[in-house]
Amino acid sequence: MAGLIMEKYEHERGDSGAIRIANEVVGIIAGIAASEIKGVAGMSGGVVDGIAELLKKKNMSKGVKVEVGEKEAAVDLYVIIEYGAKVPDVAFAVQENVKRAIESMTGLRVVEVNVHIQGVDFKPEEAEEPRVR
Amino acid sequence: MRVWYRPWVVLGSLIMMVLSLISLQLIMKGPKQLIGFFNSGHVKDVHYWLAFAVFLFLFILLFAAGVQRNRPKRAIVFLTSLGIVRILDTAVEDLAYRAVKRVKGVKDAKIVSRVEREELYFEVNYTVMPDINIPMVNDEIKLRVSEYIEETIGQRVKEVIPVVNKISAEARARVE
Repeated sequence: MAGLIMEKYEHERGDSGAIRIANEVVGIIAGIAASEIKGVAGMSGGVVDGIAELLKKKNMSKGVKVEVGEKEAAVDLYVIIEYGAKVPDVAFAVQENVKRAIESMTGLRVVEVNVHIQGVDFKPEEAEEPRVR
Repeated sequence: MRVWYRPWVVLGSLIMMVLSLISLQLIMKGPKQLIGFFNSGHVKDVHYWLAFAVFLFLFILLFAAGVQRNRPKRAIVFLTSLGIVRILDTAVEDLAYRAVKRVKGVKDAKIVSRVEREELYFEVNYTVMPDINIPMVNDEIKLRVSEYIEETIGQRVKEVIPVVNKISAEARARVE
């Protein structure tokens, strides 16, 4: 399937000029794909992402850093996981889903998906156990 | 930030500082009136104040950016077929903290972790409740932290060192 898409992409490129996909677009695809995985509580952005989120409605590329070439892309994801999730399983699922999403939507070959676990999110009910029942 | 950008950023910040001082000078209309101005209680020339504030803010921002050191954050790193997975030590410590907090008799804890040869070491500094058997709590902390971290992170825990820092003055709950 991916091969077919790549072929189509190359074909279009050859006939009517190059198709360039903005980093922002790939970032949004990666951000959404990562957030879909069970065990991911959210993405961890820096100060700039925080300001961008204040100005815009929702910053879907928050915590995503991408490098996009003509044919390949590399992604770095800054993730906060849910308490109780198994980190290696969640990280691998994120890598697979992001790679699949980018490749199927853009035709770019994803060479690297690096996952950086920045923190753990504890649900409010987990926050403090009452002393008495 | 690239290393050779830093001197330029610091230089830019110093220019901002000079500009902010010029703005302040314009507000004061001369250094002699400095004390008198603050005592007078009224503020004129709002745009100079604004310029002063903006340049001062930019100076602080740029100066901080220029002189701050980006220390590499400690992390556990493992490779997969699709890239690397880095788990920051703060995340690991959060997980260990939660495991420790579930041990009966622990009031509060501070965790310090380190990685050596792909094995994890933890130091658990904790506050214990009164009337609690400390050796038993220590054993349970060791067990809970090891089990939970190995289960969630998949990394071997070599050693957990519990250290009692304080005994809580708070009385135990009388009811269940």
